[in-house]
Amino acid sequence: MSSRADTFNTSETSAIEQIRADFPVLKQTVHGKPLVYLDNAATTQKPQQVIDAVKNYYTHDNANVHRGLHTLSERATDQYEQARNKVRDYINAASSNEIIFTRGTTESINLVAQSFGRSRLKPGDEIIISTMEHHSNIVPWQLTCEQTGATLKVIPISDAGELDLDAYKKLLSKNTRLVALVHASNALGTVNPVTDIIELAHAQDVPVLLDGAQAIAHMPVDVQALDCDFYAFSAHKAFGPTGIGVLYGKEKLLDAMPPYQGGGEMIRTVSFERSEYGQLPNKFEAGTPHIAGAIGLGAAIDYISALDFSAIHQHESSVLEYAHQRAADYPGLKIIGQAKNKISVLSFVLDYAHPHDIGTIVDHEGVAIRVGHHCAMPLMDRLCVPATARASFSIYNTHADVDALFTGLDSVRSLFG
Amino acid sequence: MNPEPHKLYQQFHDMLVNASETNFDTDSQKLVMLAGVKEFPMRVKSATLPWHTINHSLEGAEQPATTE
Repeated sequence: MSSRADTFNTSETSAIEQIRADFPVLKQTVHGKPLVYLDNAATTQKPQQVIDAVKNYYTHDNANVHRGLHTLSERATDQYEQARNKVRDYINAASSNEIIFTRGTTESINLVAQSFGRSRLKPGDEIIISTMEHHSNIVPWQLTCEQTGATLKVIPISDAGELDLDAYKKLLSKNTRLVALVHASNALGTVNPVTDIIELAHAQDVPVLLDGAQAIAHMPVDVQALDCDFYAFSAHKAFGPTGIGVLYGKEKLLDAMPPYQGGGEMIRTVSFERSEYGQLPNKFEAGTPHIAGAIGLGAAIDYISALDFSAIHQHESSVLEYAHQRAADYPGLKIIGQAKNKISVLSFVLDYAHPHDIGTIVDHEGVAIRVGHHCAMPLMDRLCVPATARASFSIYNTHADVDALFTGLDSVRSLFG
Repeated sequence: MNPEPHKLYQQFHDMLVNASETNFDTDSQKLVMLAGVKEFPMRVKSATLPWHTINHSLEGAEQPATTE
């Protein structure tokens, strides 16, 4: 695939046009208006390269992995394992053994909560999360706490949506067994100072899990530079298929953890008396995996790797800045989440319309946004809003998309304002 | 239980969920204004939830009301 590294810089408009051309779903109208897709924090669209990779696999190579001796099985296994190597390189893991394929971020976190958490936690132990977590980084820990008698501690946030680091330092104690924190918030866009968080935790020998569901498509992630102990993400928020995700874990930790699920693929020998588990990463991949999904994720990594993250960041920041400008003087609009360091998410409320009405009306202008509590009900409570409207931008969004959103909001205002 | 609120609930529900012709009593005619919600399937729940809630509480149900 040809490199797109310079395309942003040569001419931003034509570069974005080239990128948009890779995403067939964008070429349609909704309610008679050109689709403006601003729900990227929920899921990104897929480039033709990813669609083709999945289609080609099913068209030419479909077979089960790690079992057959026939040619197709060998091809499928090669592609599946190549995808694992691509993930390893993409996040700079030390070994492919540290890359576990899961169904997505949620399953990755559940794996750690059940395998790492249940086997180590006891009454009196504490897990630290934050107010801005997605439910998928709250509920798995609540389940583990119920099962083990451990307690959940929550780092508070400011009104702007930033972590209270002083409170975090106070929460870290000799009882802390794990910090599980979102890298970038889905509801607010806040990018957390994870390097500092990890350093502070490691100073007390506490491992850290990062929920990278949102961060993965917006910034380079180097797990060794971060020195995080676990990193969870989903393919579908980074241009890959749904139903496939990754748990990165330091090999030493994963090695010591018991299996999360039992079945085929994850064993070495089985008898009715006892079974011997397989090596990493197979130990955590019971059953036939989502092979096509993993191959699609590999293609998504190829796609994103051919772009230049600093250019992506520059472009998305410019779109977000423009959205913030338009929002700043829009009548009755309040931005929810004003952290200094944000991914391209504009969450907001209007004082004259419920977010659900905003969502319905802008949809009729062809604009897709997310409305609701964003699977972060404790965060909504903290910010005293029942729900927000959220526009989340990706590499293919433009200033014109922001204008379309605000044209949609004009319709909301004419009805409710 | 007073049958009147339950009948209203049923009529309102039928208007949005079953798209049936509804003959509200004169006092309740204004509810027809909300018939257009059926054009927005994702919003039918929003419009019917308060009716489920009132119906539920009139029935003295112990579980929280839902639209399911």
